[in-house]
Amino acid sequence: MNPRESMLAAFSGKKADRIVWQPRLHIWYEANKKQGTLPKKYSGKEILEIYDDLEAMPRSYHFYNSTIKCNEGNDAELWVRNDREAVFTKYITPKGELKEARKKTVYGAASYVTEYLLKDVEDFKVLTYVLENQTYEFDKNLYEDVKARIGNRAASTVNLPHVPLQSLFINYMGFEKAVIAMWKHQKEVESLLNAIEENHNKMMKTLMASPIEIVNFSANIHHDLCSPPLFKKYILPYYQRATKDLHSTGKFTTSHWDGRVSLLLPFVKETGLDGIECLTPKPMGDVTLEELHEALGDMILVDGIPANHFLPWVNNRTLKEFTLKLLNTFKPHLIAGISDMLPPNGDIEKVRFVGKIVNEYEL
Amino acid sequence: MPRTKNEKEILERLRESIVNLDVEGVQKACEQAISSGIPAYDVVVHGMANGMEEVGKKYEAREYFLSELIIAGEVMKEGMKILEPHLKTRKTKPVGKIVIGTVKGDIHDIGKNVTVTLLGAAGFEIIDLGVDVPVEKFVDAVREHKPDILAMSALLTLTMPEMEAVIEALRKAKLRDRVKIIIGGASITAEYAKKIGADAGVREAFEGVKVVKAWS
Repeated sequence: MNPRESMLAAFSGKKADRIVWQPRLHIWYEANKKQGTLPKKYSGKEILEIYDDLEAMPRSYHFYNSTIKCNEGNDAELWVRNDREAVFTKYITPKGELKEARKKTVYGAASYVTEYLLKDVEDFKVLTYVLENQTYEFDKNLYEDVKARIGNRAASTVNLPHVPLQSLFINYMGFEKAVIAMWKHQKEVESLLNAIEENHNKMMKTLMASPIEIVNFSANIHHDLCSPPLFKKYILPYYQRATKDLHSTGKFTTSHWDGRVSLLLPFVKETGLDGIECLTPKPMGDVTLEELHEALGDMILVDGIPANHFLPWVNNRTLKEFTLKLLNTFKPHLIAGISDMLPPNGDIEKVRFVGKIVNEYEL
Repeated sequence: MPRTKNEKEILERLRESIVNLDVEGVQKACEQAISSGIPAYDVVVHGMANGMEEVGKKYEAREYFLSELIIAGEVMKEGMKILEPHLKTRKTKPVGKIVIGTVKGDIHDIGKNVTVTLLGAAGFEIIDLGVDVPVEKFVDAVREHKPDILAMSALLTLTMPEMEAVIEALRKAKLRDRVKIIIGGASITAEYAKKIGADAGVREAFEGVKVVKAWS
């Protein structure tokens, strides 16, 4: 089996011949490339060349995501100004305008919102208009290009945007304002959440008609943001509806949960998801591998080794013990990786070290 | 101060209304308290604050979550609108002043924001510098605001050394001895805090609040 087939076998409950080692290296790569601190042997190399040198596989949504294109409606103008330190976005629509500002982090590999699109409930109608008029299309030519580059290193995966409630909290309004809006204007908030879901449904329909094999729901689930009552009311039913649709066309589904999740794990099997990505174990997260395994059962864990185990001062014995424990606990329901990704000061040779353990592990 | 049965009942209703996130109940209890002659300051300290303390305990016990903390703060604000005109002659003094921020290179603010909410409920005056805060901004804030405590947050292991850089810069600026320093984040340990010259290191927001309350 090639790694792509091994991944799909794990997801479909068939016997795989290996656990796939799929560490996310993009932040490490982009940050070090920008600072000129890539190891000498990787200077000028593409990220896939580094993956190959490490005998590791890429998480393919970093490549396939751009195959799904979002088109704005005819009456909605989108302006984006990308400066060295910030990105400014403006929507101009017949219903009004929305503005957003994002500041780039010191390494330029990520950004965070400094001015949210939604300032108050009055802005909801503008965003609803934007979302209702967006359409999605699948870029077949780009897909073929990406497929030729990725080959059989990984099954094709695309990210959906943050699940609606997390979109409101993280992308559109900010947590505090959104919580207060939910308290004061529940009907309006729920109407907006429906508009976000309808927008996602358009993207999902495009994905369902495409050859993409795995759909990953961005979510950044963390029980402090998304408490059990909010999860049960808004997120669980969304997952159930969406996974049912995606499964009907043979897609596998995962979702990215990267915060503290102990209070939400009791609901994980009800989501309909085939696997969960990240799920950071202790000491970075708040759950042990055993607790994760008990909650997930036969669901796939994508990742599993806390990122801080890849820091230069962590000894390889500790890393090896953790890796073997992960493999023994989750096999065969595992795509091994870093929870959440290799940090810019992570030791790339530890990625090779773990890869050797995973690749030699006999199922 | 001895109270009548009626006054005690009003303050208890106010406390319960805060805990139940019942904004109308809070408004009604505040109006009753004022019309019954209970000093507004006492309404805040013995009614509102008791309610917020209970909300904090429920958060710690995982009965309440961050969203309930935020709503409790909003409910309290509605009550304060009624009490504020009566508080003019006696301002409530903050328990202490804290400068807080997530260090440079780190944009994770959940832990910091939980801490801010809990500290606010505990009566601290908070200067929140936000996320991705450079060393100089921490130093300038300590110089300008003269806080009792400096709190720094970092989730990423990569950004933890920034905390040490802030402490070193405070030493150079001869400001280190003026503040107690607490650091927090998923990878923080007491040993790391000691190693870099902080006074305390915690992983959870409510642990941190316990520490700074003990300092005040």
